Amino acid sequence: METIRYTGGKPEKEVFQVIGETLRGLFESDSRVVYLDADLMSSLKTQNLWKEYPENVFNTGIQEANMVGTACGMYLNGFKPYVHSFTPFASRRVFDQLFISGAYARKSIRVIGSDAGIMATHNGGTHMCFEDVAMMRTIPDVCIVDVSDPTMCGAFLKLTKDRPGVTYIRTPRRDLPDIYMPDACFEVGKGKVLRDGSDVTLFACGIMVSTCLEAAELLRADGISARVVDAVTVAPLDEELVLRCAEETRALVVAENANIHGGLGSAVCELLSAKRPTRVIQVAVEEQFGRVGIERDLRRYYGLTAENVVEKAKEAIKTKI
Amino acid sequence: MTPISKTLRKEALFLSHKCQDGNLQSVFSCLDVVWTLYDRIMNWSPETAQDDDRDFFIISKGQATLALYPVLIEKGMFSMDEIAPEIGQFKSRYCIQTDLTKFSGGIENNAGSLGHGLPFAVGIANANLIKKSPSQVYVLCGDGEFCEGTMWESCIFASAKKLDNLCVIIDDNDSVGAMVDMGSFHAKLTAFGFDVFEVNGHDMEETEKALRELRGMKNGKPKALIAHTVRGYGSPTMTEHDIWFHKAPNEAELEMLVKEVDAF
Repeated sequence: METIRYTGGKPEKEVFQVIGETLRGLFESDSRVVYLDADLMSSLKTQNLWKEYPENVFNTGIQEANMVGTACGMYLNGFKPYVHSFTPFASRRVFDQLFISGAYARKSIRVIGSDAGIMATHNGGTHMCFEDVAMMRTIPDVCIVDVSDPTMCGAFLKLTKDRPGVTYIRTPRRDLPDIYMPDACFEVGKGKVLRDGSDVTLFACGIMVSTCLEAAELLRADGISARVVDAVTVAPLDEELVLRCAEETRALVVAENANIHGGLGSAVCELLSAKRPTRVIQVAVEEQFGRVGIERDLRRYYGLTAENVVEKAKEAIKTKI
Repeated sequence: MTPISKTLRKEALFLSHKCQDGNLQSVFSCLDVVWTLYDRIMNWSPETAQDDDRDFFIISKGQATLALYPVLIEKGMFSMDEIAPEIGQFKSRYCIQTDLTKFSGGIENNAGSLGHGLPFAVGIANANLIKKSPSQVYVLCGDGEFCEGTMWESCIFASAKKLDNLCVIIDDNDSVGAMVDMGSFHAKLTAFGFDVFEVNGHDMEETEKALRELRGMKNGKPKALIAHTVRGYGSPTMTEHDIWFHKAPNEAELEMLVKEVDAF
């Protein structure tokens, strides 16, 4: 089991700070690392990097599709590109480029999609993207990281630097609590058990990981022992871990800040229906577009709350097969 | 600045303060053009806002939504008493990017995802042509937005369909210059088959004259107005400091910025 430092308080560093610092470290250690942005450097607070590393940082202007195509071309010519935009523009808008110029052409490219799901808050429906996970999951050999803590974001930026194919890192820019120890080790395709339990597994990714830690505490008060797992990478899924949780707790709640169709919940159900039929209940966004609001109100509206996870966990336990 | 320019800016400041969000630099650069359109050019009123033959205003640079609300307030479409308490609140109709689905009339498109408004406007103009409607379509775009490929794809189609009922307004506040050198908009759009005028986008008389002239040119060519503007125009603080690209004023900042606008 992973040692964690979750308190629910403010993080030591916000995600955007970690991204900036990590990119700086990457430029210093590998001159072939490049970062392209389509006019959202001020959002990620990376303008200084642009000034300091003019041979590593490029602002294409507001042209996400061309940014991805360009990044793929730079890979072909020996570079290691990272690109950034808000999630809808880093996934849905550029999907054809990612699929054809990127994945199909066997390029290595890392895509940072910021303001994942409800974390687009005030920007509302045009910026709130729940479908990115489902779309990205259809790319062969993709790696999808739904960031649950700032340390994890930095770690994956580093460890996927030379990874072949498309790596998609979806993350909030701020307000993500610390969960992992600063020296935590991550691996593509390896989930982490954050809390042990025997009655039900709360299997989560992204912002729902801390929510599930809260839910497990609420369940404990009701005498229910809930295991909490961070999927870490939605794809590739840690199948061994999912099967072990199914075997040992025989009930799962899968929670994600994404569309109920095609995301982590779907991945878990696809696996379990084939290999070990198990009761699974999903907590995710159902048949809804994005909308305006602060995080707390959006969580309530879409059911992304600890209380909803608790309710679904009790239901899953009651209906175990 | 004219009294209305000040009023509109102060309303935008107040709304941004109320919802604690907004892209005020971008709002201040285009406010005078948007007002000129609604006040002096467009065949539009709150009463005719749903008529088939109304003129359309499409806000393609969605980050300037806080420019549209004050104009529609002053035109009597919305009321400050309704917007101010609820803007940015959960379930509110009003946020910093317009949401068409929450209105019947007054708001014509969902704004915020750049590179969408111009193609949408081209579709409306093409439909007007087929329907033989006198309706004109005005679409407000950012200079930075013209990096998106769909903008140029729309220009090709607009020109091919001879949409002289379409007027593309570029709020040229030199956002793009900080990222890439776009070269000449005038030359590019002329090459794409547009009639192109350039004005000082903070001079309402000059802007009105150009828009009237373009409206009268029924020659089978789509129109473009390059409005040279200044980010944050009306507040020296905002013009100078790019942090105001995306920042909402707190109580003290609101007071300071309102004073600047009054003194401008």
